[in-house]
Amino acid sequence: MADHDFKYQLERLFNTPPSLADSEAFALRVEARLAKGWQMRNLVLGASGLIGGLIAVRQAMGLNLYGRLEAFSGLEARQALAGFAHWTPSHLGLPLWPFGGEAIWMSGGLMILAIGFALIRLLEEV
Amino acid sequence: MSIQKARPLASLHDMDLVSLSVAGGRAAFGELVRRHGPGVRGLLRRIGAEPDLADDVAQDAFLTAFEQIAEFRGDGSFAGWVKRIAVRLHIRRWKKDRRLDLVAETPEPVWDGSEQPGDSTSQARHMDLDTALAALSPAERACVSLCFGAGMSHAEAAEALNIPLGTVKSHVKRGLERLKHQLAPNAEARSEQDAHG
Repeated sequence: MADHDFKYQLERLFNTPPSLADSEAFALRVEARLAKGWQMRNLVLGASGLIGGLIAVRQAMGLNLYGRLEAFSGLEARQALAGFAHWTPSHLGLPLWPFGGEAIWMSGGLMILAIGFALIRLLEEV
Repeated sequence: MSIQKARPLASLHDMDLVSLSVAGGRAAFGELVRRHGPGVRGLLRRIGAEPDLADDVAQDAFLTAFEQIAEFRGDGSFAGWVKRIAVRLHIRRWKKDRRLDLVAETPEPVWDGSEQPGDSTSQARHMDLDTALAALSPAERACVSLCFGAGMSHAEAAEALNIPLGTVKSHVKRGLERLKHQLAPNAEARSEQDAHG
């Protein structure tokens, strides 16, 4: 057999995978480890976010940021509500709703969180 | 409905599965593992890893591949890419266990080369590669498997094994000679003759 032919045959032999009885079990083990790693990653990210949030709240309280933000958000929220009022039916009476600036900011935050969760879910589905 | 549910994963091309995996699709990556797991595990065993160790390294290689899947550009095959990752991980373990000296220098082969293999390529499909590789020295086996199984050049194999290029070339040369002898169509008959004196 010529060298070239032999090398070609050898490559073909190497590229022919052996028949292994536990191929499915192997794939399942890899998938399980992937899922575990993914859960761990989510856990670490969540924990990091929580710790970061707590530190941020503590810092904000230390700087009396809440009081400043309250004063600022009251004005901003009133402006935002006035803006919404132009785009909503008048019978809803949005500017008259009994919530302040904090509620608007909290709603915005929750909305961002919801969008984040939806995006993560979408990425996992795809 | 997700893409995976709309199109059965088994019918997708490797590159489609890679694209899905890049977006975090674990099921798509699982299909790649099903397809190429035996090849990667087989290569590690052919290099000389024990089956349990080969499976551990293969698992690590697939996990690494998933983490780095965005770096796979499709220049070569996905299987080849994972095989290279697996080989490098295996060599790293080898070095850690201080077993790399097995590859550095080996004695001359016992076979004297007096018998020449046959010329029929049609019988090559009956070759038993695993049995033939078992007759090689660890160094020859590793070098031949890296070059012909993982598709590495001699230089890449030398770099991966951290041994001189000339040493890799001589291991490959000797390994090929011995494999040629072992894999010859009439090798089985010759072995029986040898066994009977």
